Amino acid sequence: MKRVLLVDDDDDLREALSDLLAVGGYDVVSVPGGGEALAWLGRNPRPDLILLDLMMPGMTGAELKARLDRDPCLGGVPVVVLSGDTRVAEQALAIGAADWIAKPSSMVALLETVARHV
Amino acid sequence: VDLVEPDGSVRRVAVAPEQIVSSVPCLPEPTTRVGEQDGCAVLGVPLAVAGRTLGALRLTRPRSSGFDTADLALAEDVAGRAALAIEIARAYRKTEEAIRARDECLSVASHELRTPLATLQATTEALLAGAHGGVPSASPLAAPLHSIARQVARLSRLANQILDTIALETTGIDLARTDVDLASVAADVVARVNSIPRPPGEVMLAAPCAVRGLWDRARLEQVVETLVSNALRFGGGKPIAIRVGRREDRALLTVEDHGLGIPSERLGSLFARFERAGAARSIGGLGLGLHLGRAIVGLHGGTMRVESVVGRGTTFFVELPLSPARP
Repeated sequence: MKRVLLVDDDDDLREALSDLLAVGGYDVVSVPGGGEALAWLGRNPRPDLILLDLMMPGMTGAELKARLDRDPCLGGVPVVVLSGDTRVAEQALAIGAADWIAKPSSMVALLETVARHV
Repeated sequence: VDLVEPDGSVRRVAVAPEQIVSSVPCLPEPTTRVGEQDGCAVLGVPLAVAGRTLGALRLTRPRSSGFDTADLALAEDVAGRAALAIEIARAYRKTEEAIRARDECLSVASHELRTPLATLQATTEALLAGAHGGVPSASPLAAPLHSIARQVARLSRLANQILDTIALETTGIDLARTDVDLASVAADVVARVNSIPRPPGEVMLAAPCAVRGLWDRARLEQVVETLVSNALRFGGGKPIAIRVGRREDRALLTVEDHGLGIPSERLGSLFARFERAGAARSIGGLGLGLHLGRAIVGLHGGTMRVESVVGRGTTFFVELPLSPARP
Protein backbone atom coordinates (compact mmCIF):
# COMPACT_ATOMS: atom_id res chain seq x y z
CA MET A 1 0.00 0.00 0.00
CA LYS A 2 1.41 3.39 -0.99
CA ARG A 3 1.99 5.80 1.85
CA VAL A 4 1.08 9.48 1.68
CA LEU A 5 2.26 12.08 4.20
CA LEU A 6 -0.33 14.85 4.46
CA VAL A 7 0.84 18.16 5.94
CA ASP A 8 -1.92 20.71 6.65
CA ASP A 9 -2.58 22.91 9.67
CA ASP A 10 -6.40 22.73 9.37
CA ASP A 11 -7.52 19.84 11.59
CA ASP A 12 -10.89 19.26 9.92
CA LEU A 13 -9.49 19.39 6.39
CA ARG A 14 -6.64 17.08 7.37
CA GLU A 15 -9.10 14.54 8.73
CA ALA A 16 -11.39 14.80 5.69
CA LEU A 17 -8.53 14.46 3.20
CA SER A 18 -7.12 11.52 5.19
CA ASP A 19 -10.50 9.81 4.90
CA LEU A 20 -10.64 10.45 1.16
CA LEU A 21 -7.14 9.13 0.57
CA ALA A 22 -7.84 6.10 2.75
CA VAL A 23 -10.97 5.36 0.69
CA GLY A 24 -8.75 5.69 -2.39
CA GLY A 25 -6.53 2.92 -1.06
CA TYR A 26 -3.64 4.87 0.47
CA ASP A 27 -1.96 4.53 3.83
CA VAL A 28 -2.16 8.08 5.16
CA VAL A 29 -0.12 9.77 7.86
CA SER A 30 -1.15 13.32 8.62
CA VAL A 31 0.67 16.03 10.58
CA PRO A 32 -0.30 19.65 11.32
CA GLY A 33 2.92 21.43 10.35
CA GLY A 34 6.37 21.46 8.81
CA GLY A 35 8.19 20.74 12.08
CA GLU A 36 6.04 17.70 12.78
CA ALA A 37 6.55 16.54 9.19
CA LEU A 38 10.35 16.68 9.54
CA ALA A 39 10.16 14.89 12.88
CA TRP A 40 8.04 12.11 11.40
CA LEU A 41 10.25 11.83 8.32
CA GLY A 42 13.30 11.50 10.56
CA ARG A 43 11.84 8.47 12.34
CA ASN A 44 10.12 6.61 9.50
CA PRO A 45 10.79 5.20 6.02
CA ARG A 46 10.28 7.80 3.29
CA PRO A 47 6.67 8.09 2.06
CA ASP A 48 5.69 7.65 -1.59
CA LEU A 49 4.27 11.17 -1.77
CA ILE A 50 3.91 14.29 0.35
CA LEU A 51 0.71 16.31 0.09
CA LEU A 52 1.68 19.75 1.32
CA ASP A 53 -0.35 22.80 2.33
CA LEU A 54 1.49 26.02 1.48
CA MET A 55 0.05 28.49 3.98
CA MET A 56 0.83 27.23 7.45
CA PRO A 57 1.89 29.08 10.60
CA GLY A 58 5.51 28.52 11.60
CA MET A 59 7.29 26.65 8.85
CA THR A 60 5.49 27.32 5.56
CA GLY A 61 5.03 24.71 2.86
CA ALA A 62 7.71 26.39 0.73
CA GLU A 63 10.19 26.28 3.63
CA LEU A 64 9.50 22.61 4.27
CA LYS A 65 9.98 21.84 0.57
CA ALA A 66 13.33 23.66 0.61
CA ARG A 67 14.41 21.59 3.64
CA LEU A 68 13.39 18.37 1.87
CA ASP A 69 15.32 19.37 -1.25
CA ARG A 70 18.49 19.75 0.83
CA ASP A 71 18.10 16.24 2.30
CA PRO A 72 19.67 13.59 0.03
CA CYS A 73 17.25 10.92 1.31
CA LEU A 74 14.06 12.95 0.97
CA GLY A 75 14.75 15.23 -2.00
CA GLY A 76 13.32 12.70 -4.46
CA VAL A 77 9.94 12.27 -2.74
CA PRO A 78 7.27 13.81 -4.99
CA VAL A 79 5.56 16.77 -3.35
CA VAL A 80 2.05 17.81 -4.41
CA VAL A 81 1.06 21.26 -3.27
CA LEU A 82 -2.35 21.93 -1.75
CA SER A 83 -3.52 25.55 -1.74
CA GLY A 84 -6.58 27.79 -1.77
CA ASP A 85 -4.67 30.51 -3.57
CA THR A 86 -5.64 31.39 -7.14
CA ARG A 87 -1.98 31.19 -8.10
CA VAL A 88 -1.49 27.65 -6.80
CA ALA A 89 0.02 26.45 -10.10
CA GLU A 90 2.56 29.27 -10.17
CA GLN A 91 3.46 28.70 -6.50
CA ALA A 92 3.88 24.97 -7.07
CA LEU A 93 6.17 25.52 -10.04
CA ALA A 94 8.17 28.11 -8.11
CA ILE A 95 9.11 25.65 -5.36
CA GLY A 96 9.66 22.74 -7.71
CA ALA A 97 6.63 20.68 -6.65
CA ALA A 98 5.60 17.75 -8.82
CA ASP A 99 1.99 18.92 -9.06
CA TRP A 100 -0.73 20.88 -7.31
CA ILE A 101 -4.30 20.52 -6.11
CA ALA A 102 -6.52 23.55 -5.67
CA LYS A 103 -8.67 23.84 -2.56
CA PRO A 104 -11.42 22.85 -2.90
CA SER A 105 -11.09 19.95 -5.32
CA SER A 106 -13.25 16.94 -5.97
CA MET A 107 -12.28 13.50 -4.72
CA VAL A 108 -11.76 12.38 -8.32
CA ALA A 109 -9.33 15.24 -9.01
CA LEU A 110 -7.48 14.59 -5.73
CA LEU A 111 -7.06 10.87 -6.32
CA GLU A 112 -6.16 11.33 -10.00
CA THR A 113 -3.42 13.80 -9.13
CA VAL A 114 -2.00 11.68 -6.31
CA ALA A 115 -2.10 8.55 -8.51
CA ARG A 116 -0.03 10.30 -11.20
CA HIS A 117 2.93 10.67 -8.84
CA VAL A 118 3.10 7.65 -6.54
CA VAL B 1 1.44 79.73 -13.00
CA ASP B 2 0.26 78.71 -9.53
CA LEU B 3 -2.70 76.49 -8.77
CA VAL B 4 -4.39 77.69 -5.59
CA GLU B 5 -6.08 74.90 -3.64
CA PRO B 6 -9.33 75.51 -1.70
CA ASP B 7 -7.38 75.50 1.60
CA GLY B 8 -5.28 78.39 0.35
CA SER B 9 -2.14 76.37 -0.34
CA VAL B 10 -0.42 77.09 -3.62
CA ARG B 11 0.97 74.51 -6.03
CA ARG B 12 3.26 75.84 -8.73
CA VAL B 13 2.42 74.17 -12.03
CA ALA B 14 4.55 76.29 -14.40
CA VAL B 15 7.31 78.83 -14.10
CA ALA B 16 8.03 81.67 -16.51
CA PRO B 17 11.59 82.00 -17.88
CA GLU B 18 12.19 85.01 -15.66
CA GLN B 19 11.64 84.29 -11.97
CA ILE B 20 8.74 86.67 -11.52
CA VAL B 21 6.21 84.58 -9.70
CA SER B 22 5.53 85.27 -6.07
CA SER B 23 4.79 82.31 -3.81
CA VAL B 24 2.66 84.28 -1.39
CA PRO B 25 -0.48 82.15 -0.78
CA CYS B 26 -3.89 83.56 -1.49
CA LEU B 27 -7.40 82.19 -1.07
CA PRO B 28 -9.36 80.85 -4.02
CA GLU B 29 -10.95 83.65 -5.94
CA PRO B 30 -14.73 83.42 -6.14
CA THR B 31 -14.59 85.72 -9.15
CA THR B 32 -11.97 86.74 -11.63
CA ARG B 33 -9.80 89.47 -10.20
CA VAL B 34 -6.96 91.55 -11.55
CA GLY B 35 -4.60 93.23 -9.16
CA GLU B 36 -1.03 93.83 -8.12
CA GLN B 37 1.23 92.02 -5.69
CA ASP B 38 4.94 92.44 -4.93
CA GLY B 39 5.36 94.68 -7.92
CA CYS B 40 3.70 92.24 -10.36
CA ALA B 41 0.37 92.25 -12.16
CA VAL B 42 -1.70 89.32 -10.85
CA LEU B 43 -4.70 87.74 -12.52
CA GLY B 44 -6.79 85.37 -10.35
CA VAL B 45 -9.38 83.15 -12.03
CA PRO B 46 -11.63 80.70 -10.13
CA LEU B 47 -11.43 77.00 -10.99
CA ALA B 48 -15.17 76.36 -10.88
CA VAL B 49 -17.27 73.46 -12.07
CA ALA B 50 -21.00 72.87 -11.55
CA GLY B 51 -21.24 75.86 -9.22
CA ARG B 52 -18.39 74.66 -6.96
CA THR B 53 -15.05 76.39 -6.67
CA LEU B 54 -12.23 73.84 -6.63
CA GLY B 55 -9.41 76.36 -6.39
CA ALA B 56 -8.03 79.25 -8.37
CA LEU B 57 -5.61 79.81 -11.19
CA ARG B 58 -3.27 82.70 -10.60
CA LEU B 59 -1.18 84.22 -13.35
CA THR B 60 1.61 86.67 -12.61
CA ARG B 61 3.40 89.02 -14.99
CA PRO B 62 5.73 92.00 -14.71
CA ARG B 63 3.64 95.07 -13.94
CA SER B 64 4.84 96.74 -17.15
CA SER B 65 3.12 94.03 -19.29
CA GLY B 66 -0.16 93.80 -17.36
CA PHE B 67 -3.21 91.81 -18.52
CA ASP B 68 -5.67 92.84 -21.24
CA THR B 69 -9.19 91.54 -22.01
CA ALA B 70 -7.82 88.87 -24.38
CA ASP B 71 -5.61 87.54 -21.56
CA LEU B 72 -8.62 87.55 -19.28
CA ALA B 73 -10.76 85.55 -21.74
CA LEU B 74 -7.93 83.06 -22.34
CA ALA B 75 -7.33 82.64 -18.58
CA GLU B 76 -11.03 82.02 -17.94
CA ASP B 77 -11.18 79.47 -20.76
CA VAL B 78 -8.08 77.66 -19.46
CA ALA B 79 -9.43 77.76 -15.90
CA GLY B 80 -12.78 76.29 -17.00
CA ARG B 81 -11.06 73.42 -18.80
CA ALA B 82 -8.63 72.84 -15.94
CA ALA B 83 -11.50 72.72 -13.42
CA LEU B 84 -13.31 70.13 -15.53
CA ALA B 85 -10.13 68.05 -15.88
CA ILE B 86 -9.55 68.16 -12.11
CA GLU B 87 -13.16 67.12 -11.44
CA ILE B 88 -12.91 64.20 -13.89
CA ALA B 89 -9.55 63.10 -12.46
CA ARG B 90 -10.96 63.13 -8.92
CA ALA B 91 -14.06 61.17 -9.97
CA TYR B 92 -11.83 58.68 -11.82
CA ARG B 93 -9.61 58.23 -8.76
CA LYS B 94 -12.65 57.67 -6.54
CA THR B 95 -14.03 55.08 -8.97
CA GLU B 96 -10.69 53.27 -9.12
CA GLU B 97 -10.48 53.21 -5.33
CA ALA B 98 -14.04 51.85 -5.10
CA ILE B 99 -13.28 49.11 -7.64
CA ARG B 100 -10.08 48.17 -5.80
CA ALA B 101 -11.95 48.00 -2.49
CA ARG B 102 -14.68 45.85 -4.05
CA ASP B 103 -12.20 43.45 -5.66
CA GLU B 104 -10.19 43.15 -2.45
CA CYS B 105 -13.32 42.45 -0.41
CA LEU B 106 -14.51 39.80 -2.88
CA SER B 107 -11.06 38.27 -3.12
CA VAL B 108 -10.61 37.95 0.66
CA ALA B 109 -14.15 36.60 1.08
CA SER B 110 -13.74 34.02 -1.69
CA HIS B 111 -10.27 33.01 -0.52
CA GLU B 112 -11.40 32.53 3.07
CA LEU B 113 -14.31 30.42 1.84
CA ARG B 114 -12.03 27.91 0.18
CA THR B 115 -10.65 25.99 3.15
CA PRO B 116 -14.05 25.38 4.80
CA LEU B 117 -15.48 24.49 1.40
CA ALA B 118 -12.61 22.08 0.77
CA THR B 119 -13.28 20.46 4.14
CA LEU B 120 -17.02 20.19 3.50
CA GLN B 121 -16.49 18.75 0.04
CA ALA B 122 -13.87 16.24 1.16
CA THR B 123 -15.92 15.12 4.20
CA THR B 124 -19.10 14.64 2.17
CA GLU B 125 -17.35 12.82 -0.65
CA ALA B 126 -15.45 10.63 1.81
CA LEU B 127 -18.70 9.61 3.51
CA LEU B 128 -20.37 8.88 0.18
CA ALA B 129 -17.31 6.90 -0.92
CA GLY B 130 -17.38 4.65 2.14
CA ALA B 131 -15.31 6.33 4.84
CA HIS B 132 -16.35 5.52 8.44
CA GLY B 133 -18.40 2.58 7.23
CA GLY B 134 -19.97 4.65 4.46
CA VAL B 135 -23.58 5.55 3.77
CA PRO B 136 -25.38 2.81 1.80
CA SER B 137 -27.33 4.08 -1.20
CA ALA B 138 -30.54 2.73 0.41
CA SER B 139 -29.94 4.79 3.55
CA PRO B 140 -32.26 7.77 4.10
CA LEU B 141 -29.06 9.79 4.60
CA ALA B 142 -27.79 9.13 1.08
CA ALA B 143 -30.06 11.63 -0.71
CA PRO B 144 -29.36 14.54 1.69
CA LEU B 145 -25.62 13.79 1.52
CA HIS B 146 -25.72 13.89 -2.28
CA SER B 147 -27.61 17.16 -2.00
CA ILE B 148 -24.92 18.59 0.32
CA ALA B 149 -22.22 17.42 -2.10
CA ARG B 150 -23.95 19.13 -5.04
CA GLN B 151 -24.42 22.41 -3.17
CA VAL B 152 -20.84 22.43 -1.86
CA ALA B 153 -19.58 21.84 -5.40
CA ARG B 154 -21.77 24.71 -6.56
CA LEU B 155 -20.45 27.04 -3.85
CA SER B 156 -16.88 26.09 -4.73
CA ARG B 157 -17.54 26.83 -8.39
CA LEU B 158 -19.01 30.25 -7.57
CA ALA B 159 -16.09 31.18 -5.28
CA ASN B 160 -13.60 30.10 -7.95
CA GLN B 161 -15.42 32.06 -10.65
CA ILE B 162 -15.38 35.25 -8.55
CA LEU B 163 -11.66 34.86 -7.84
CA ASP B 164 -10.87 34.10 -11.49
CA THR B 165 -12.85 37.11 -12.69
CA ILE B 166 -10.96 39.40 -10.29
CA ALA B 167 -7.64 37.83 -11.32
CA LEU B 168 -8.48 38.29 -15.00
CA GLU B 169 -8.94 42.02 -14.49
CA THR B 170 -6.09 42.61 -12.06
CA THR B 171 -3.12 40.25 -11.87
CA GLY B 172 -4.08 38.15 -14.89
CA ILE B 173 -4.42 34.36 -15.06
CA ASP B 174 -1.23 32.41 -15.61
CA LEU B 175 -1.38 29.24 -17.68
CA ALA B 176 0.54 26.15 -16.55
CA ARG B 177 1.11 24.57 -19.97
CA THR B 178 1.99 20.90 -20.19
CA ASP B 179 1.50 18.22 -22.84
CA VAL B 180 -2.27 17.63 -22.72
CA ASP B 181 -4.67 15.42 -24.68
CA LEU B 182 -7.89 17.36 -25.28
CA ALA B 183 -9.77 14.10 -25.91
CA SER B 184 -8.81 12.85 -22.45
CA VAL B 185 -9.82 16.20 -20.90
CA ALA B 186 -13.27 15.85 -22.49
CA ALA B 187 -13.48 12.17 -21.46
CA ASP B 188 -12.67 13.05 -17.83
CA VAL B 189 -15.34 15.76 -17.77
CA VAL B 190 -17.94 13.43 -19.30
CA ALA B 191 -17.05 10.67 -16.81
CA ARG B 192 -17.40 13.13 -13.94
CA VAL B 193 -20.71 14.48 -15.23
CA ASN B 194 -22.07 10.96 -15.72
CA SER B 195 -20.96 9.89 -12.22
CA ILE B 196 -23.17 12.47 -10.52
CA PRO B 197 -26.92 11.85 -10.17
CA ARG B 198 -28.61 14.56 -12.24
CA PRO B 199 -31.63 15.27 -14.45
CA PRO B 200 -31.79 13.34 -17.75
CA GLY B 201 -29.72 14.36 -20.76
CA GLU B 202 -27.31 11.81 -22.20
CA VAL B 203 -23.80 13.18 -22.73
CA MET B 204 -22.05 11.54 -25.70
CA LEU B 205 -18.41 12.00 -26.55
CA ALA B 206 -16.96 11.49 -30.02
CA ALA B 207 -13.19 11.72 -29.77
CA PRO B 208 -11.76 9.14 -32.16
CA CYS B 209 -8.12 9.94 -31.47
CA ALA B 210 -5.85 11.87 -29.13
CA VAL B 211 -5.42 15.58 -29.85
CA ARG B 212 -2.32 16.74 -28.05
CA GLY B 213 -1.19 20.29 -27.43
CA LEU B 214 0.63 22.49 -24.95
CA TRP B 215 -2.23 23.64 -22.76
CA ASP B 216 -3.23 24.17 -19.13
CA ARG B 217 -5.16 21.00 -18.37
CA ALA B 218 -7.06 22.29 -15.32
CA ARG B 219 -8.13 25.42 -17.20
CA LEU B 220 -9.31 23.43 -20.21
CA GLU B 221 -11.29 21.14 -17.89
CA GLN B 222 -12.90 24.30 -16.50
CA VAL B 223 -13.89 25.41 -20.03
CA VAL B 224 -15.30 22.02 -21.03
CA GLU B 225 -17.13 21.68 -17.70
CA THR B 226 -18.75 25.08 -18.20
CA LEU B 227 -19.93 24.20 -21.71
CA VAL B 228 -21.23 20.77 -20.69
CA SER B 229 -22.89 22.12 -17.57
CA ASN B 230 -24.62 24.85 -19.62
CA ALA B 231 -25.70 22.28 -22.20
CA LEU B 232 -27.24 20.17 -19.43
CA ARG B 233 -29.06 23.16 -17.95
CA PHE B 234 -30.45 24.45 -21.22
CA GLY B 235 -30.55 21.19 -23.19
CA GLY B 236 -34.14 20.29 -22.32
CA GLY B 237 -33.14 16.74 -21.30
CA LYS B 238 -32.14 15.86 -24.87
CA PRO B 239 -28.80 14.25 -25.81
CA ILE B 240 -25.68 16.40 -25.72
CA ALA B 241 -22.86 15.74 -28.18
CA ILE B 242 -19.22 16.59 -27.53
CA ARG B 243 -16.76 16.23 -30.39
CA VAL B 244 -12.99 16.54 -30.29
CA GLY B 245 -10.93 16.65 -33.45
CA ARG B 246 -8.06 18.37 -35.19
CA ARG B 247 -7.70 20.51 -38.28
CA GLU B 248 -4.10 21.16 -39.33
CA ASP B 249 -2.38 22.83 -36.36
CA ARG B 250 -5.56 23.54 -34.41
CA ALA B 251 -7.64 21.44 -32.04
CA LEU B 252 -11.41 21.66 -32.33
CA LEU B 253 -13.98 20.99 -29.63
CA THR B 254 -17.73 21.39 -30.03
CA VAL B 255 -20.49 21.00 -27.48
CA GLU B 256 -23.94 20.71 -29.00
CA ASP B 257 -27.32 20.59 -27.30
CA HIS B 258 -30.82 20.33 -28.77
CA GLY B 259 -32.57 22.44 -26.19
CA LEU B 260 -34.10 25.87 -25.85
CA GLY B 261 -31.66 27.78 -28.06
CA ILE B 262 -30.64 31.40 -27.53
CA PRO B 263 -32.42 34.34 -29.22
CA SER B 264 -30.16 35.98 -31.81
CA GLU B 265 -30.31 39.37 -30.06
CA ARG B 266 -28.67 37.83 -26.98
CA LEU B 267 -25.86 36.03 -28.76
CA GLY B 268 -23.74 39.18 -29.07
CA SER B 269 -23.52 39.68 -25.31
CA LEU B 270 -23.44 36.01 -24.30
CA PHE B 271 -19.77 36.11 -23.29
CA ALA B 272 -20.07 39.33 -21.28
CA ARG B 273 -19.68 39.26 -17.50
CA PHE B 274 -22.83 38.45 -15.50
CA GLU B 275 -24.65 37.47 -18.69
CA ARG B 276 -27.00 34.53 -18.36
CA ALA B 277 -28.39 32.62 -21.31
CA GLY B 278 -31.67 31.84 -19.59
CA ALA B 279 -34.28 34.19 -18.21
CA ALA B 280 -32.26 36.16 -15.68
CA ARG B 281 -33.83 35.05 -12.41
CA SER B 282 -35.14 31.63 -13.38
CA ILE B 283 -31.68 30.17 -14.03
CA GLY B 284 -29.06 30.32 -11.30
CA GLY B 285 -25.36 31.12 -11.56
CA LEU B 286 -23.32 34.28 -11.64
CA GLY B 287 -23.13 34.46 -15.41
CA LEU B 288 -19.34 34.27 -15.31
CA GLY B 289 -18.72 30.79 -16.75
CA LEU B 290 -18.78 31.67 -20.46
CA HIS B 291 -16.98 34.98 -19.83
CA LEU B 292 -14.14 33.11 -18.11
CA GLY B 293 -14.29 30.23 -20.60
CA ARG B 294 -13.75 32.48 -23.57
CA ALA B 295 -11.01 34.39 -21.72
CA ILE B 296 -9.17 31.14 -20.91
CA VAL B 297 -9.43 29.97 -24.52
CA GLY B 298 -8.18 33.41 -25.58
CA LEU B 299 -5.19 33.13 -23.23
CA HIS B 300 -4.30 29.92 -25.07
CA GLY B 301 -4.44 31.84 -28.36
CA GLY B 302 -7.71 30.17 -29.36
CA THR B 303 -11.28 31.24 -30.06
CA MET B 304 -14.72 30.37 -28.72
CA ARG B 305 -17.90 31.12 -30.65
CA VAL B 306 -21.53 30.07 -30.57
CA GLU B 307 -24.30 29.24 -33.03
CA SER B 308 -27.88 28.86 -31.88
CA VAL B 309 -31.41 28.49 -33.22
CA VAL B 310 -34.32 29.04 -30.86
CA GLY B 311 -36.18 25.79 -30.31
CA ARG B 312 -33.48 23.71 -32.01
CA GLY B 313 -30.44 24.09 -29.80
CA THR B 314 -27.02 25.62 -29.35
CA THR B 315 -23.50 24.65 -30.39
CA PHE B 316 -20.31 26.10 -28.93
CA PHE B 317 -17.13 25.87 -31.03
CA VAL B 318 -13.69 26.03 -29.40
CA GLU B 319 -10.52 26.21 -31.47
CA LEU B 320 -7.07 25.97 -29.88
CA PRO B 321 -3.63 26.23 -31.45
CA LEU B 322 -1.63 23.09 -30.61
CA SER B 323 1.30 25.15 -29.36
CA PRO B 324 1.64 28.74 -28.20
CA ALA B 325 2.46 31.35 -30.84
CA ARG B 326 6.11 32.45 -30.85
CA PRO B 327 6.56 35.89 -29.34
